[in-house]
This record gives sequence, C-alpha cells and structure tokens, in this order.
Amino acid sequence: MHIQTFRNIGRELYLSSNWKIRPDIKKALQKALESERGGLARMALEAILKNAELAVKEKLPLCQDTGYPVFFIKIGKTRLRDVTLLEKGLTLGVKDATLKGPLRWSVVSDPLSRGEMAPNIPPVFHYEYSSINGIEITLLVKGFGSENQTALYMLDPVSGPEEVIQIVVDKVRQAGSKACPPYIVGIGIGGTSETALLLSKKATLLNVNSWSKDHRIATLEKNIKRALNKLGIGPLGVGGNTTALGVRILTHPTHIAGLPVAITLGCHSTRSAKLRLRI
Amino acid sequence: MKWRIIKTPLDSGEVERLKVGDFCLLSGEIYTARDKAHKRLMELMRRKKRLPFNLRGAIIYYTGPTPPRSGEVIGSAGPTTSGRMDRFAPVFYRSGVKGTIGKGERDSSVKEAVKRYKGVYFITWGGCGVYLKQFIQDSELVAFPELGPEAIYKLKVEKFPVIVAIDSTGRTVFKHC
Repeated sequence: MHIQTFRNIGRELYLSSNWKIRPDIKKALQKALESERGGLARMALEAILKNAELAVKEKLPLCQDTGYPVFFIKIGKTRLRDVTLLEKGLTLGVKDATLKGPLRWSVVSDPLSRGEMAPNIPPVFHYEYSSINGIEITLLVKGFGSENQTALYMLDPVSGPEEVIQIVVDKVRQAGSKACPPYIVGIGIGGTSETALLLSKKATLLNVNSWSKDHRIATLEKNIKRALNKLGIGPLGVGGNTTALGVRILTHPTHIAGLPVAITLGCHSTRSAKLRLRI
Repeated sequence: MKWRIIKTPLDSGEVERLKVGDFCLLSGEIYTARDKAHKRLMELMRRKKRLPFNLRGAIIYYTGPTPPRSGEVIGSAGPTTSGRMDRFAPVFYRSGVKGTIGKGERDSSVKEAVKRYKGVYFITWGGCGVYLKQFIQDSELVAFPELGPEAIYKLKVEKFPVIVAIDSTGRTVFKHC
C-alpha cells in the first residue's frame, strides 16, 4: 500500500474532525439544551450548537485551537509489512491539512525554547495489537485548554468507588470552566500510572450517550455524572445543570499496592474521528 | 441578566454600570494578546520601552485565531483560557487596561486588580471560534508577526457577545468558586 493513501487518510481525518462535531456529542448537547432553564446556560448551549452548524457548513475549524493530533492505531490482521509507512503518511497528511485548512500552527518544535513553530507535527502515536481485520486509525484532536486539566492520582488500594467519585468531583470543580464545559470526562482506572492516563484519553473517544457494559462500572459512570452535574458550573461556566455531557471509564488490572486513577477532560466539542482499513 | 450594548473605548462610568452576569454586545476596537505577547509586553514595560499600542482604556482579547482563508479577515477566533494570563493581568489593569476577554475563572489577584482599578473581566463563548468569527469585521497586525497566531492584532468587532464575569466591585459570575 502506497504512502500516499495514508497521507490522504491523515489529511481527511484531521480536517474532518476539526470541522464536524461528533454525532454522539451533538445529540448530547441537544438533550442538554432541553434540561437547561437559565438564560445564559441556554445561550451558551445554543452558541455551541450554532458553532457546530457553521463549522461544517463553512468547513472552518470548530475551535481556533485545532489541537495536538493523537493517533490511536489498532493493528489487526494485515498485509502491511512496514508500519513506519503508516506513520510517515499520516504525519504528511496532518501537515497537508494544516496548510490546506488553514489550521492554526499550534505546535512548537522545542518544548523549552518554544521558538520554532511546526504545522502540528509530529503527531503522537499509540499502537496496540488487535484481532480485527485490517488496521483501525482513530484520531483525537486534543485542545490544550482541556489537556492542561489532565490529572493523575495514585490512590491507596483500599480506596473504594466513593473516593474515586470524590477525586473526580474535586478535579472538575478545580478545573471550573477553564476547559470549556460541558465536559466529556474520560477516566482511566488501574494498570500503572501511564496505563491509567492512556485509558482516560481513550475513554473520551467512547460514545457519550452509552454506558459501560460492566454494570459496576456503568453505575460508577452514572454516579460521577450525577455528582458533577450538581456542581453548578454549567455550560461555559455560566451556571446550570450541565457540567458533564458524558462520563466514561476504562479499567485495567492493577497492583495490590495501588489504585491509579487518571482523568482526561474533553471540551464540549471533543474532536475525534475513526476509520477502518482492510489491508 | 441584563442585555447591554457597549462600545469601545469604555469610559469609567460605563464600566462601573456593568454588573456580573450582564450579557453585552461589544462593538469597536479590541486587541488580541495571549501568552507570548504578554511576556513580550511585560519585557518592554520592564525596560521602559514604548509599547506597540496604548494600554490606557484598551480591551485585550485572549485569543490566537486560525489563519484567514483568502478574502477573509480572520479564521476561527474563540477565547483561550484566561487563567494562564493571571500572572500578567494585574500589571496590565494597573497600566490602564480597562477590560480583558477570555474564558474561565481568574485567580484572586485578578479579582482584586479588576476591583482596584475599576475594570472588568468578560468571558465569551469558549470553543465557538466559527460562531465568534461572525462578529469580527476587520483585523490589523499591530506587533510581533514572528509569533504567528500569538501576534498582536487590532480587531474591529461588531456586537461581539461577552458576559461580565468579574465586575468593578470584584464580584464574580462563577458560583462554584
């Protein structure tokens, strides 16, 4: 398979995730609008929905922060022998999209000197093996207003679900409206510290209108969402019932001595797109 | 909640009439500046150099827009997180800045500065860059083009929606903090 194919995919995924709001999120926003009475809360949700409508119509980025591109790649049964072609192609595609959009150059090549700007490359890549046929490419376009609110807690192993709820509530209260609520709250529980963080990011990719298939986890998701929506932060911080649009949790076995809990906040227009390639 | 039509330059009496939670449609000239531009302006002030625009009475919008398409004046241009500018804001209010526009809570030093210098902190709709673009009529480069999206631009806005988040008495719209 030619590198050009991956390049086209990278470009299309990066552009379309910036222009098109996720259908599950749009649905959740419309539902939230029904539950808000307050003038400003309703106006905030209406502005968010109008923004999504204009973005797709005019092919303009939903947000000026066109995000740091993070690719999650599942490698299943495939004939592709050189996976580096995938990475090279997707990187070129992100650059093409940035120039074509035009999207903002939001990346600095050196994190300390912060001098030279880059066209949103290199992206971050995460790989995993899978039993699927082909390769699945998911792009998360991560804005840094929300990324700056990421948190990792190494709780004691005896901490139960109540403490997990409390720590998420405390984190979101502290984030306030800095990361553009209502939030998509991704929570990773278990593994080692970096597993929890990675799971929390992946959790923001899940459908916000669904719950975990594991009943205990679904209950925890529901309880956290209920608690967050009592905080009163509301859409874009103006007060209201909708602080969390969705709460999703992914878990992993962990060590007897610890309970890693990571939180990734996604904004009200969390951007991601997915594509399966049979190659 | 009150609806208000306001125009730059905002005079002191007008600013003092603004109350927390008021929804305002702002028209006139505002200046963009975010992290790097603030750092540069602070250095100029420290070295007592001339600033690229007059801070007195100015309104600063914390944003770093996407580049405009050909024939357009600006791309998506929503607010960035104001909290990152908290370390600079008190000096700016002290130097005559009347208002700032961004998103999210400010720390207590900003609340105190807004109160002390009778200014205002507005929030606008975060993550709504295309929606807000509609209210920006013109954009002119003022300083630091090498900073790309972080350069300072003078924007001409027409009925740009903002909400009073900290008023001149130091009250804040954020009920949770």
